[in-house]
Amino acid sequence: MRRALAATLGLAGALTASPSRANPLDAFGFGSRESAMGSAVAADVSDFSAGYYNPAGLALAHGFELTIGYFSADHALQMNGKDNGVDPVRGIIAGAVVPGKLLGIPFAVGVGLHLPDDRLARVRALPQDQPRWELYDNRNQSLWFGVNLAISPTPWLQLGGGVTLMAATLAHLDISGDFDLLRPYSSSLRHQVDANLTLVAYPQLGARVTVSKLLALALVYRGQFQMDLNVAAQVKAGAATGGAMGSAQTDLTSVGLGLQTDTINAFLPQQLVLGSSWRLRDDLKVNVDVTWVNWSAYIPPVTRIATQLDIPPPRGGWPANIQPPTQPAPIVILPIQMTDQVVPHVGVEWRAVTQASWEGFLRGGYEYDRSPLGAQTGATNYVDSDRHVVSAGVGVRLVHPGAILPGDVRFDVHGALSVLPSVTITKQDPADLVGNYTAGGHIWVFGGAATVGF
Amino acid sequence: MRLAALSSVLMLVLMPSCSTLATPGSGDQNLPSSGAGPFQALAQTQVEPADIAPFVFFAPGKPASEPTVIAGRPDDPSSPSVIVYLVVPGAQGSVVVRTRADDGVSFYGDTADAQQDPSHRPPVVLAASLAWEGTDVTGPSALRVGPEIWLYYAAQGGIGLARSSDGRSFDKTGQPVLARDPGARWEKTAPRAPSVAVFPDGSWHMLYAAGASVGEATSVDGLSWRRVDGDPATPALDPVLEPSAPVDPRGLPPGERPPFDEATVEDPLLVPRVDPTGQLQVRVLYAGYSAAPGDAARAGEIGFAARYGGSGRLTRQAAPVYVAPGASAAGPALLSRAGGSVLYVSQLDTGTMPPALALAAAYDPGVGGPPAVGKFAASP
Repeated sequence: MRRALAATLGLAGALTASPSRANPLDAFGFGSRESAMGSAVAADVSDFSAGYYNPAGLALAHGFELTIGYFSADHALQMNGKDNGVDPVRGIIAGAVVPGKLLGIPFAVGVGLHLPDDRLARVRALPQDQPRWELYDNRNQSLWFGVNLAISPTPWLQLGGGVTLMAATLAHLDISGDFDLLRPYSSSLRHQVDANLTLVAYPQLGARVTVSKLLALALVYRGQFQMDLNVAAQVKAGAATGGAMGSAQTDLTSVGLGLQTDTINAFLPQQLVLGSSWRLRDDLKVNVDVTWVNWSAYIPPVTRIATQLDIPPPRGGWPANIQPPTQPAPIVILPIQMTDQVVPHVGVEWRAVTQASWEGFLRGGYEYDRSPLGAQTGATNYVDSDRHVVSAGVGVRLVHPGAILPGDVRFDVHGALSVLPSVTITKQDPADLVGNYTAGGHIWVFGGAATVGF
Repeated sequence: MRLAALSSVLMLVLMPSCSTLATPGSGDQNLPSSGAGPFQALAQTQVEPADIAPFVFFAPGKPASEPTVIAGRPDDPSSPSVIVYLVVPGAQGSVVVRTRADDGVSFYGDTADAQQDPSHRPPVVLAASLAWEGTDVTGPSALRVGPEIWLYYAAQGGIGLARSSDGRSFDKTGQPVLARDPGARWEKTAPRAPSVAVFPDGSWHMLYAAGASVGEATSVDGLSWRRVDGDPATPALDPVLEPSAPVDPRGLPPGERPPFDEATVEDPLLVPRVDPTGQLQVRVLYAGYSAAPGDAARAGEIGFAARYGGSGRLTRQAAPVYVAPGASAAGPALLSRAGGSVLYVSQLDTGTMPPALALAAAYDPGVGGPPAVGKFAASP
């Protein structure tokens, strides 16, 4: 049974292809130990970060654990050799695992949180021809919160699942008043904004099988979701030229404008992860994960705009020096070319020091993200490059440090360098307003976490 | 005990959480650009208070048109200082005058400047004096050649050249350097509105308007010019830029409008560059018109066309890069400097009665901000 399930997991993994830049966790990892190991932990995780990497791992927790940490990712991403000022991603990471037994079956509940420093979410709707680091500019600026449940029906099998919550925005904008066609600065317009930050959820499921003392396998599915930005605007105003606003002598006409904009602010493609953890020695583990990311389903973050303009001509027609606005032409959204990717991750953990009261760990990892974006030869400028991530970290585990903290206490720190080799973007149209350019750079990530077991 | 430990940990969580105020998003600094717009007209706070934005040079009763610019301080690539040669009406016909703005917007001899000091009058640097020129000189194109300033110009019989060591006193070379060629069938008029640049390989290139289109000529020394076929695949001598094919507006979707340049393309401005990938990009700004000369609805908009490499036809950007709302813009001239670029055009000032051509300015937000307003230049 165990081997059949393991074989199924292996086959599924072979047919699919790992996490990749879709939210702060995909891009930079979650938890210091796990990030240090190149995020290759689907089959080797049992703390709060299992809520992201593999919910099934929660069932392996031995006791109530609480983790708090911090991480910072600083971009040095450049176009034509000049820094684009992509915002850093910084924030608190935190989580808890609460294990127990139900009808004799071990289970655990885990919660995980990435709380950004600056903002819970950021929305940006850029013109599709504006160059932007598509996978780093906006989509990582978001709150992440996951709640998961796991059970272990047999000692060699763990199953888990849950939901992840992220924020989306709905807004309504009302503008009313008077404006002067010839002297716009003399206009008096009032506006009212009603915005709601709503949560959207996507599912995640995971399984972990202990094949032998040497090997554990894992299969994880993360659902697809999208963060919407929907803004509806209504403008109702009287239009006049010169004189006192609203006076009978200067009133021209009325203006009615209805505007509905719909943007997919961030799209997270579904992912399938096959993980493996090899205990080569009692003190040495090597993990290999591969993730298939369904980038081909990606929806570009381009705003769809529907407008309705109503400006009846005044009596006697328009004055000679005024050209009334006409219904704007709809924006033609150009298709984005993205292909599914397989992302390999490799992680190593060596227990370098073993003492009765504490243990020391050295960790390292590597990840290769091949860019899913096609060549930007046309009008769009979704900029990206392949990414090589090299990570390292150290950890200390205090074994049952005392009566106050009867469980283990862990301290982990990590650092990672993402290198994005320079790529050249060549436009087919020599009259492209952006023109040809180069893009590349690197990203530094540092973080640390403390875990307390009770 | 466990409660105390838990409380301690929670405190650790909450303390850093209290630190935040949102900051504005970034990520759009130093973005790549062809440096050819779209341009945004200067606002009132970006011109002299006595001027009316986007106009930066206005001379009452003297329509100013067809500007050409050279850097005022070529040794300082970030300086907004600019020297402008303009066409204005003279006693016998149109002439070329010179003015200057050390800040890019406060021009010597502008109405506001002349009110403060009536002696500030832009000097005439070029007027018709040769038989082939007729009565008018127009379409100047200035460039620095070593220690000299060369000024190509158009007149009745074609395109001529004048040279100067100080940029104020010019000596004409005599006969036109590019006269009308009966073999160029597309040239329905004498060549006019020249724009000359030296490419990175040292070759000289001239774009000029004739009839409704734009042609190209090359030279090894800037003195002797030879026409270039825009399309060697055909036996005839072709222009490098023609008007867009006419489009029936009835067949267009709502909000769409016909090409802005389906009647004529004029006033080419040749601005070559080696782009960040090492490729030669020949950039051309031009005035496009959707109605023929004489049509009351004729209004110019500034377009952008380009090609890779030293020869061949130009490909155009469908949308104009500068539009003067309710007015007409033509004669683009571009001052590219580190930190920003300024587009100068001759634009109809509809705020005057009667409306008159004046020098307007715009900047490219994709390259940098507008120049800061300083004070009027003390000399032209």
